[in-house]
Amino acid sequence: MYDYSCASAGARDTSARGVTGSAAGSPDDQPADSWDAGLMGCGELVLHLRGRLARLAPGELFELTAHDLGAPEDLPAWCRMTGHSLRVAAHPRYLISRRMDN
Amino acid sequence: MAGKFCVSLTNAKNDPDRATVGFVVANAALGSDQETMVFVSTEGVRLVEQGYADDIAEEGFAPLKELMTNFVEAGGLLWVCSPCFKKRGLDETKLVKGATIVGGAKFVEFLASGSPCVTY
Repeated sequence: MYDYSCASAGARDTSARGVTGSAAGSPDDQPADSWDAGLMGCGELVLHLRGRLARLAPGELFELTAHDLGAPEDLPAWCRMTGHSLRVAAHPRYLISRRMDN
Repeated sequence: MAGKFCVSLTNAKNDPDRATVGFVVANAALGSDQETMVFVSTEGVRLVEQGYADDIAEEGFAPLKELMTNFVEAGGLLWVCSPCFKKRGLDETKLVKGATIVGGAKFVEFLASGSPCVTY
């Protein structure tokens, strides 16, 4: 068994930096799907995440649990690049809204 | 795909750490919707011969074979330097799935279209 996480060290800011959308953190958000990625991180995490988000309908929510130390920095950047919206970033829990186009 | 991204990979069992991290970064690029191409050259070409990478498993990372398989199955491009492959006497009938032997023009065309490139 290997540790999926990227090499990284030190405490990370776990604030909701990079969170978009007006309903960030709303208790009413109901994810269409969820995934506990455990310690998976870096390339493996976003490659799997890409496939899982692709299976959702536009605008649907995806709940991710990611314990990798790089996740608080990686996931906002990944959402900026891919066009998905990071609605909640409360490490290790993230709520992502699938982008509207394909 | 939002853009292009190239990982130039020049190491194999001579430096399994670099070989592994190259594919980790490639998967990060592909997973971030970049049209991603891994170009293996010099010693890196050994990675695309079936069976070679099967026992490369660096501490803290997924096994290299898994990283390579995930990359190709998700649509990543895996290009192999033709003269580097020939120089080492490797068998082109035993390429891993998704690997394509290319010449320099193909590689240059990809980069000249505006792709950044990182080398491991």
